[in-house]
Amino acid sequence: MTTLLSVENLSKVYTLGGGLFKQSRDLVALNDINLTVEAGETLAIVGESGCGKTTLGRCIIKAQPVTEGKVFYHQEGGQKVELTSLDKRAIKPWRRDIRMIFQDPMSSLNPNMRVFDIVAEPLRVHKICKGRELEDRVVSTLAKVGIPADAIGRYPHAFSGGQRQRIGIARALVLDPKLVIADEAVSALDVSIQAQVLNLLDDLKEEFGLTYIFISHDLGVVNYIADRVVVMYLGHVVETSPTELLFERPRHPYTEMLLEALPIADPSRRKGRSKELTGEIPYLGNRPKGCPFHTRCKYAEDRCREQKPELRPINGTAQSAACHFAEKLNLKGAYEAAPQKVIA
Amino acid sequence: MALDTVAPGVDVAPAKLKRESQLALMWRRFKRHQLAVISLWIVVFFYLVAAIAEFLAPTDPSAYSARYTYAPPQGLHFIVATEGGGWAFQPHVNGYKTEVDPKAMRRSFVIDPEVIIPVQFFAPSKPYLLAGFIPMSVKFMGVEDPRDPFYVLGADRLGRDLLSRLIHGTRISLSIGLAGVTLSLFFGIVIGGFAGYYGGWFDSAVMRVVEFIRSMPTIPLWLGLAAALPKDWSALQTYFAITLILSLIGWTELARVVRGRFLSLRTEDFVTAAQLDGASDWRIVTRHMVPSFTSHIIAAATLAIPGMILAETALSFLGLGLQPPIVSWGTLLQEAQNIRTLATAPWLLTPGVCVVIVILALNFFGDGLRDAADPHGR
Repeated sequence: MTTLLSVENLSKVYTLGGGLFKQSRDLVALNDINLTVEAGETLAIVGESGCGKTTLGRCIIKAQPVTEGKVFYHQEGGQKVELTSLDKRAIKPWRRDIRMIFQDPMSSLNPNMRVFDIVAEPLRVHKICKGRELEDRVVSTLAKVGIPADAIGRYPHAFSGGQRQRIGIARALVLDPKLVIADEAVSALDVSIQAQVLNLLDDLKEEFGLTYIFISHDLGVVNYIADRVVVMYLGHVVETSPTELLFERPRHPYTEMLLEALPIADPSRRKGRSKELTGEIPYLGNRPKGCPFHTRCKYAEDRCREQKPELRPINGTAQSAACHFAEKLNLKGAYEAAPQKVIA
Repeated sequence: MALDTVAPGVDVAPAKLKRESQLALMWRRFKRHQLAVISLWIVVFFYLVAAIAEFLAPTDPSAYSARYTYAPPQGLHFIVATEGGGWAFQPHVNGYKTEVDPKAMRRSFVIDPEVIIPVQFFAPSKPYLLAGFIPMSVKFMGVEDPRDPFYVLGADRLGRDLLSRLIHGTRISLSIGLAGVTLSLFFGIVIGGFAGYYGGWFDSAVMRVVEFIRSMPTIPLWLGLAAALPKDWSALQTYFAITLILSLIGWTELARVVRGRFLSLRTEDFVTAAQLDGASDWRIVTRHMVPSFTSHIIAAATLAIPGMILAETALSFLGLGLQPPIVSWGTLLQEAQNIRTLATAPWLLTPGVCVVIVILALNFFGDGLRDAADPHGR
């Protein structure tokens, strides 16, 4: 496998307030993130709301400037392009390769443009084709996501949420991208529609040879679609792991907590587990010293309160975790046996 | 990556697709709003009158006649009685006779139904230039002998024809509304757009200026500015100066509307999507953001025109806007300022009726347009 994208020491700090009479405060949304995305995989980024997963996605695609660190895009020849240092004009060619699917299908489509124009817009901006060719390409891309050709003259409000999300997917795919960042792409949809859209994403991945960064808070969805999972907490990466391993044997107490909260449809398999996440996420502007998770961790010891654990590979597995006791703790997974691969 | 394969069962035939332009859709929605459609015709009628004022006005608006001061409206009649007791079609106006009020010893004009002055449609006249560049020698209507009195809507203090003056005043009053709004719209969109799109210190500075301008009472400000205009300026110069003064305040309201829309649209996902498409700022603003609030702009603009017309009328009425000999509805109403004139010549208030009709029509028209331009509407 070849690396498609790598993120090195990425940090994002928001400066809050700071007026004439107010002291400004820093809010660290992302703290020293390192991760790589392999070509062809589906990498899921999970975490509770406010953990920085959306910010990470937006920083990677440069919808927001980063404070520190670098994002590299690896071209086919093996050359690396540093996306973070490019200005608006210089990054434009790479916008064809890295695309985004948005969370809210209601607000991500311009209500004043027809479906045809919405999907054609990227092709027009990049001056890829026009006239008949443009029309054909838009129609065939829409057909692939299941929007019939006779609907292309309509406005977005004439479509259901699931159909709108399909249009959003078509807009992302019409440029023939390499990497698609799906930011909570299914969380605004009904569960039945979620399954349809997830299956569609899976099919399209094979057809187009795509790589996904799938940002989600829903571990059920992640289990279904992801090859590898990055767990984030308070702007830190606390664990990365292949999906199956993560669900079998998590290495970070936070992951265990998330898995415990996962609903299980079969009552006989729910074995006396606490179902809710305990504790509050600390305010980002007031992060705890030491391990960021120690305020909610039931295994926390003195060392956790003093010393911040680094993300490190766990011997003998493909997992990494940022916990002092990653090897010692025997954390509970969500499943005893191999995870079931079917939802809905 | 092949994009040419299509899922089975999906008809790909772009030629068959039915498309309707945004304008056609807007027109269809607009037609459902009956009051707005009627108002549209009224507005069109008035602007048409303004456009061909020279053709419609029976006489020169400044032609005076000492014989017919404050002559009452003659009205236009079409039927005359023939000698045999029958009727015949003959457009005409009646002549005047003078009566003396024995108490006040005041002379006044009374319509004399005996005197019939035939009126000709498309009457030949002295050559003139329509709208300043089309040579014509035909008027919409006129009397055969130019010495005969022809005051369909009455005459003013100097015996000038009110109808002719009203028609010429329509041109000035309506065009000042359009010109003022165009100017305000331009400044409002550019300044408000920059403030809203880029935000930051420029936004704060602009908004403080807007607040400052808006916090001043408008009438004294207009009065002050209008009083500062040099008296020796030509009619055209004053006209443009007044337009500028009116839009000096007009732009602030539009700038606020535009800025607010930009601010809220800037964070919309579809704008982010356009940025991620690699679209330029210009394209994002013109193709993605502005179309989302054309309805707002249209409504704000049409609703600002009556404001401009009223402002001009008010200023001219107070004697500080346009000055005679420029004829506008405001300067015409200036004639009707004192109670004595009103008592003896109430027809001098007709410009006021025009103001009311046009302003109501523009408001309804603006409402209809706003509803029609909104794709979320029914």
